[in-house]
Amino acid sequence: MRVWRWWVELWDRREPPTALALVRIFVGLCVLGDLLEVGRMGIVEALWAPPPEGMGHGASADPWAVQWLGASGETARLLWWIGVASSAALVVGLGTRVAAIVMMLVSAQLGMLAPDSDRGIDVALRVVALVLAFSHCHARWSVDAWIRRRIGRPFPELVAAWPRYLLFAQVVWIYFSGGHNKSEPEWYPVGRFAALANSLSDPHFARFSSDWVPMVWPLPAIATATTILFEWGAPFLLLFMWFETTAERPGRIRHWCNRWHARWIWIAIGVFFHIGIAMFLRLGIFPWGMLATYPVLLRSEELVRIEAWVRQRVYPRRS
Amino acid sequence: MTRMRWAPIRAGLIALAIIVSLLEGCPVPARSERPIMERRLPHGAVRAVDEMDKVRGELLRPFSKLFAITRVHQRWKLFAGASRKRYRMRIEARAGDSAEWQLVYRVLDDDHDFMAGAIEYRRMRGAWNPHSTRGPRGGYGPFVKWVAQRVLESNPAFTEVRVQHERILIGPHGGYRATGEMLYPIVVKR
Repeated sequence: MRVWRWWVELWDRREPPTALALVRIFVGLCVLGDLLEVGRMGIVEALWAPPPEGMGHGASADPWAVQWLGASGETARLLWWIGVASSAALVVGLGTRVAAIVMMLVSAQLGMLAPDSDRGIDVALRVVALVLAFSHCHARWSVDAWIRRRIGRPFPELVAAWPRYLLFAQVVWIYFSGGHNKSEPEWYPVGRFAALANSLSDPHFARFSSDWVPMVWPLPAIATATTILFEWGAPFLLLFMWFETTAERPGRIRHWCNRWHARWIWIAIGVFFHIGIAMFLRLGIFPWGMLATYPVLLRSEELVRIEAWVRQRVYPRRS
Repeated sequence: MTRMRWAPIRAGLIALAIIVSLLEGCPVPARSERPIMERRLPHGAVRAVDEMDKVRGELLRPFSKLFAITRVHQRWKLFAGASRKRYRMRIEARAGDSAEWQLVYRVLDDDHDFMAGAIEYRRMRGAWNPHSTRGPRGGYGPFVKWVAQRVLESNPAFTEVRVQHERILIGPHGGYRATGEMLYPIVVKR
């Protein structure tokens, strides 16, 4: 009964909506930027129209979009437009909950039309959008919040923290699951930690010619070992967070982790990991989509401090 | 008062969501990985995994529609492929049956970069980049037809287009050498 009370209390906590608002904006920007890139290259129909016009061979599985609108280039174009509109609405926080759900469903439909073009990051951003739809991520920096203030019904200063906790758990699980699904020996000592050297040398993914990779050995091996430790160690993030929120309690490990800012070290490795991927590999929005979720890894009071610091520098007179 | 009544219901729903997600994300080997598992594990262990997977499937059945509609899963394979056997895709065209093939595009080749931006875009690559063990994906054939059409439109003299993958072998410390072995060729005629 005590555990249940603790569980109920945990998911009933309140905090400022800053982290959720940031995730909403960043995730919306990632999806919007990705869709606009498709539009700029003129490959909307090529990606999602049924063959022979495009690569949307999943249309034969009859997803909703095909049942309602038929399998055609026009359907692909319409879905793209809805995706653009809903992700833009999510960024500015206009009709946010509906926008998040629509964006998620359109992304799913596009994924069904062309299963090969639906990558892991698209799935991850769909999960995030679904959680955001149930949150008060629009309580700050949004058109919705502006409208609510204008009509005299502003959002509360503190909103439910559970969507951030859930997204925190989701990020931890994505990395941990990513770690234990890496079964190829190249990720481990038996394969001499060659995984990243192999990826950096793969012309299908590498941003540069692979000539430089052997020259910097064993750095790719060290990066591979760090990556696998980072992913397998993701659940420790929950522990580090708990240590920080219970800093007044005794315990040498707690004290040591807090003193060395273990959570911040893990976050810094994650940031370097994704920026490294963006620099050396062509994985599209994957690194940015993952980094878009990182605000949930920060405690609300940290975000308050960061915001105050930024405001002081951007608007020194007002502060 | 409403909040107090709602809090345990929400906590229960969140617990359910977490349990279902963890069950879905359980790292049970996929059907395609079964032969490897059978080679590596004793028969009893394989049967135990199968039984557990059956129970897991039954528990997840009420939620399967939700996973299908949202196209969401909880098994994350972030960049899992790490083998040294890789490919380098190339697109060639020629003007007549007896003419020489001309290279119009090769991955990461600045001298042959026909529509490189679009072809190398992540979603497009998802269609043509072969699976490391299972070979070409479902979108490969449609991709070849689509890109061949673009190549033929770009030069009226071309009569056919060939797309294939050259197998490359990555060295023990990175870098690679071409093997000259061509795989998964598809030819499209005008």
